[in-house]
Amino acid sequence: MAELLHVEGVSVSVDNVAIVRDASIEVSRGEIAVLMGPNGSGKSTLLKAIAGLPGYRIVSGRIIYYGNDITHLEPWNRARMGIALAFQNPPKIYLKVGNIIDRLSKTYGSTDLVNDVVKELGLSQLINRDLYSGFSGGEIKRVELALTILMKPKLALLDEPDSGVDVDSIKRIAMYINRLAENNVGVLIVTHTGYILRYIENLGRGYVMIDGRIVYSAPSYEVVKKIMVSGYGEFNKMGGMS
Amino acid sequence: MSITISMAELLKKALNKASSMGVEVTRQGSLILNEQTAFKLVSKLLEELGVIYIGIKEAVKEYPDLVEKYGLKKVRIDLREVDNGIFIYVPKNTKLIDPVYNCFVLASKGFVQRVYNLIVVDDGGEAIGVTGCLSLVHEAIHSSHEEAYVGMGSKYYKIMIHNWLPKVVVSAIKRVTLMSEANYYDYYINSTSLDRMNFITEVFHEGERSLSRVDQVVIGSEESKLRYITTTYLSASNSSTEIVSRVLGVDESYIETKSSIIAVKPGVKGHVECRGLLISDRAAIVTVPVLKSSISDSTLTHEASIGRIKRDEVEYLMARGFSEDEAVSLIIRGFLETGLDKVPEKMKPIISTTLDRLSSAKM
Ligand SMILES: Nc1ncnc2c1ncn2[C@@H]1O[C@H](COP(=O)(O)OP(=O)(O)O)[C@@H](O)[C@H]1O
Ligand SMILES: [Mg+2]
Repeated sequence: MAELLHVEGVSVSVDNVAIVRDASIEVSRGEIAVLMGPNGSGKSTLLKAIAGLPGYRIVSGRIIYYGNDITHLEPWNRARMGIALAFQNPPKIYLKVGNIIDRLSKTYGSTDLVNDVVKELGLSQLINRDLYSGFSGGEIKRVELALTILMKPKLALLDEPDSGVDVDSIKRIAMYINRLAENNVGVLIVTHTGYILRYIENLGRGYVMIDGRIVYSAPSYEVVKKIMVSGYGEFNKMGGMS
Repeated sequence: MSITISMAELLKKALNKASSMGVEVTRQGSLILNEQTAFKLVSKLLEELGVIYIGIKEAVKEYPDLVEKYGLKKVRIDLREVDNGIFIYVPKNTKLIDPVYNCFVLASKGFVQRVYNLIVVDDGGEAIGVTGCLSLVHEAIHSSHEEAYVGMGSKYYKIMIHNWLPKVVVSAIKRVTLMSEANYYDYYINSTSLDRMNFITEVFHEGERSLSRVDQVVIGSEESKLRYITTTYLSASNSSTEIVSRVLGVDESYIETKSSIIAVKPGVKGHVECRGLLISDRAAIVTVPVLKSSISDSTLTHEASIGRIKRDEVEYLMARGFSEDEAVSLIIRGFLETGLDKVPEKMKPIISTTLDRLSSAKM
């Protein structure tokens, strides 16, 4: 598989506090890679740094995307180049779901996808609501995924797409993730429960992050198995050793 | 004849500006330049339908009965002290599909334009009115009084777009009477800076089951001092109202909105929603929602907030591919939206284009 994203020994600081340390991750085109780890381990921080959000300062290491160093590129440039982040906790904004869908689909030439996404992800009741104000966990995840899809990404960074989502919606979300990979999109799923992974068809590489460090990497199903059996306790020791 | 040439030029300028605001008087309407009706076009269809659209001074002479019956009921002024104004009468059961436009223009420095408008939509009628007010000069005064009568089962939709210049002073009073099952929708936008604005809107629900909604989108910029006082009187049972305002504080502007609902009869419903957004440290917004009820069987609610654009909102949109400026204008655009679901289709494009223009210009 052709390499799409290479995070090379990246350390990320937020407000001058080192959160992610020397993390390396690879995602290929069409691969569904998985990043797991307990709450507060730095998973979201790493995704935001890959998306280039200001405030998530990369203090060392590089991010290579399609062979180019994008470490210092503006977030909107990264987005336009195909990097889309589905936020774990997106902010509330005075902006109607319908309006952002409209803007994104025009910007990314994805107007033909709108009807399908709105229908399949059950968004029609949400179209006239302001982004995320009073949304349930599941509604947030469905809208975030929809917006990510409408950006026609080449690399989709999905931050906890399964938290607070009912089983029915999880299956639908998983279906779209599978479809993205079929279309050669590289996907990096962050999940601390691993709940959604049972619905993912072809899992790629798996990574475990503890305390800001990648402490383990193996095929995803190995990672999931290990966590199912003994939780994150085992890795804590490993993290301590490295 | 340099005077007439300059008049023609002024008119051209005014018509262009009006048109850029979405106030298409050349489709069907009139334009009042200082005290003069400088342009007027009324379609044959309107005449055939028996619609009256004339200057208020002519109306006093030609239709004294109508002016007597509907005029100067809630407004106390001396018509002799008025420069101009419009009189629109939509007969019973007459439904106008196309908007009727009119525009007031301040065209010379120091001019004090005194206006009285009277709009009557008789029982079962329907009308859309679009009014633009603009200035071609920096120092002038616009003082307007307007009365509207919306008859039984009638619908009256009104868009008003203000586009002034710094040092202009505006005082406006608008009073609307609603008969039973009347439906009134008022949408107002002020987009430009001026010296001072004092705008009073009062809606009187005199008929049962009448509905009103007043949307106010106010952008204060430079050193504008703007005050909007809006009151709806739910004086007939089962009537309902909504007052929605969006106030954007830019530069050193000071904007005050006071929105009140007074419940008098049982079964009434009212909601006030005021939102303010400050995009400058030097701007100030004061928002006062007032609910007053003397009866138990009424539902009055309000929601008020004043905030700033948060960093995480902008960053979120940046990650979706928008530059910082684009992100901010998207947020402003979203903020200014009051929800156009109840607005007639014909009004939507006018409102949307105005909001688009404003949200990008304000950055
Ligand atoms: N804006 C911030 N300022 C300071 N600390 C932060 C900020 N955001 C996250 N952190 C801290 O960074 C650590 C990692 O957070 P996060 O990346 O959200 O973890 P995860 O996604 O793995 O749960 C946590 O200890 C969190 O408190
Ligand atoms: Mg997280």
